Order: sequence, then structure tokens, then C-alpha cells
Amino acid sequence: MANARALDKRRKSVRNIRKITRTMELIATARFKKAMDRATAATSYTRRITEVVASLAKSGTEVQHPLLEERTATDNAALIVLTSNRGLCGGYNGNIIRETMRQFDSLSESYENVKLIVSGKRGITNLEFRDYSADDTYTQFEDEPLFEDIKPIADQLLDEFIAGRLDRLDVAYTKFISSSKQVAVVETLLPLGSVGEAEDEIGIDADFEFFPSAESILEEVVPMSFRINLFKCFLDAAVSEQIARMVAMKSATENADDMIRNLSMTYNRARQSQITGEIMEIIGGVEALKS
Amino acid sequence: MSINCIVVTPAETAVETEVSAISLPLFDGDKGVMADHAPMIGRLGNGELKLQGTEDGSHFYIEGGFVQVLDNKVSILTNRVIAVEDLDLSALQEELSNALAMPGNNDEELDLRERAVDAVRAQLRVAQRS
Repeated sequence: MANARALDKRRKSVRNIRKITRTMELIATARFKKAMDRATAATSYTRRITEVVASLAKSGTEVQHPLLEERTATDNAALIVLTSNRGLCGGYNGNIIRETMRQFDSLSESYENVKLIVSGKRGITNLEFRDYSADDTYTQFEDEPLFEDIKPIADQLLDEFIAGRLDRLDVAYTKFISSSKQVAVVETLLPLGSVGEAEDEIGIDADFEFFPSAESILEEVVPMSFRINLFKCFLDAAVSEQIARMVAMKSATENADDMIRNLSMTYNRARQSQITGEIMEIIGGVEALKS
Repeated sequence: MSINCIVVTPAETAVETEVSAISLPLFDGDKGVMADHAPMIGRLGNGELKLQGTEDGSHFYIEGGFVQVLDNKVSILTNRVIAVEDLDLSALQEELSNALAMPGNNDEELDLRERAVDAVRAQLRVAQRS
């Protein structure tokens, strides 16, 4: 039977770890709520911009824009990868990196140059370890990405796309579907494909007057909807990261609980047998003196 | 008759309130919207958004975006919203000189500088008027 004192020491250290994981779980929960609120707030903008596009389409304007057109050129592609700056969030980063490698390899087959843009320290080191060198890295995005910070990145990509230096842009991130389901996905953001997906559902039936003209509004709406799409990816990634961390820390805490229970039992047994052993020794001694 | 006015930025819903009249900065000048306005979509410029008939904060600076008017509902999608009370004249002056000092060596930089100067000037105008 193991030494009772060693067992007690071990139990104490597990208790300390449990305290840490429990706190991290609580922090992640609080951050998740905040990130969630921000994501919902952004949804209202997205919904309205879709409405504007839908009204444009209904008014008979041909929805045409360089950003919407499918490119035949296969020279340059870019892949943005959104990972976290910190670990201890279960399979969150691993899943994205797996998706990234698959997508990067398939893009490399059909495109001549594939640029890899990685956000998050975890992704940067992990991909470096797997011999995928990143062309551009960002580490400034934590759990509250700001639109002002993402706008310059989006604008730069837009410029490159319009100038023809970029033919396709993919983003690998963890999509938030519900609070119990998040999936690592790769989405194509440029060319945009279509901006007003939910056109029929909105059912706006009005004759709009356009200032200055439908075309000019379209010219503004389309880049904006790309920016907001990219922003939404960052927001989704932030929310998913917090959920992943919450879940990982919750199971770590539960694991620690189990360990403490088992260690306590072994410790008590060890202590009891130690006491029994001591009593036996004393009795033995007394018996020896008697005779 | 009141209008439901919503101001959203990519980050948040800044204002959601009932108003009697709105004055908004379109790309080429101010436009007033009252109840029962015809459906309209317009491009916004940088300037002052005035809401009438509401208690909490009625003057804002907004930066670009779009407005959609439909069924007495005015949705304003903009890049930035600042309440006029939060505009600081001295800080803006400084910002203006910073913006004017931006490099302008090629078309892109010039464009960027022009946009930055425009935005700060519009803020100054709004701040001075109130």
C-alpha cells in the first residue's frame, strides 16, 4: 500500500489544478456570453444589408459587380486561418489546422500561388511545425475582434482581388451553429458568389427610390458585405473558441473531481492500514513484555 | 405618427427609438424624413444625424453607409456612430493635423488621406454646429 503522506500530497496538487480549471471554465463562460452578444449585434447589420441587396435585386437592377464574378484565372489564391492565441481549448485549434492542411493542399493543386494568412499564435506555431509557412500572421485578435481592426485587412484583400492579384479567398474558421455545435469549416469569401441569399424570404414589396442610383449603391454594398462577412468569421471564431475552452475546462474539472475521489479513498485505506499496523506493533510489544 | 429609427454599425445596434422626424446626411447633402415617407434607399455621407421627438440623445455623427426607408421604418447602416456630446473639439483639431500630415505619394495614399481628412472635417463641422 502506498505511502499515505505521498497520497495526500498528490491529492492536494490535484485540488489546486481543479481550482484553476474551474476558474478558467467560469472565465470562459463569461467571455462566451460577451462574445455571443457581439456576434448577435453584428447579425442585425448583416440582416439589414441583405435586405438592401434584396430590394436592389427586386427593383430590377442587375446585380453585377467584379467581386461577384467567378474567376477563370488560377494564379493566386489566399487562405485565411483563424485560430486562438491560447491553448487549453480542447480540439478547437486541431480541427481548424486539419481543415487548413486539407484545403491548402487542394488549393495548391489548382492554383499556382497560395498565400497562407494565419491569425492566432497556436495556428502559427502548429502550422510551422508541419512545414506550412505562413505568409502573413496576426496575433492581435483576442476574444473581442473589432470591426475597425478587421476593416484594413479586408480592404487590402479587396484591393488585391480587384487589381487581379488575387483570384480566390478562402477562410478556415470554426463556424458557430448553436451553443452546442460548432464546426471547423472552410468558406470561400471571394468571389462573393451571391450577397442576397435570402432574397425570397424577406419578401419586400415596395418601389424604392434610390439615391443616387441603384448601381452606385450596389457598388458600395458589395464590398461592405464582404467586410462584414469576414468580420463575422472572426466573431464566430471568437465565440467558438470560448465555448471550446468552456467545454474542455468543464471536463478537466470533472476529471479532477474523479481523481480526488479515488485518491481520497486510497489515502483513507492507506491511513487505516498504517494505524492498524501501528496498533499491531504496540500489542506485539506488550505481549512480548508480559511473557 | 412616429417613425421607428434604427442605427446599426457592424459592431452593435447603436440607436433604436421612436422619432417624429429625422434629418440624415446623404452623400450629397442633408435629407429630411418624416412619417409616411416613400420607400427609399440612399447612400450616406459623413455628417450629422438629427432625431426629433426623442428624449435620449438626438444628435449623432455618422460615417458613410446606407439608409433604407420603408413603412415608417428607417434603418441606418453606418460604419461609425458617435454621439455629438462625445466629440471633442481639441482632440479633433489634433486628429485633423495628423490626417493632413499623412503621406500622399501615390494614388492610394492620396485617396486614403482624403478620406481621413473628410471624416475628421465632417466631425469638426458637426461638433462646431452643436
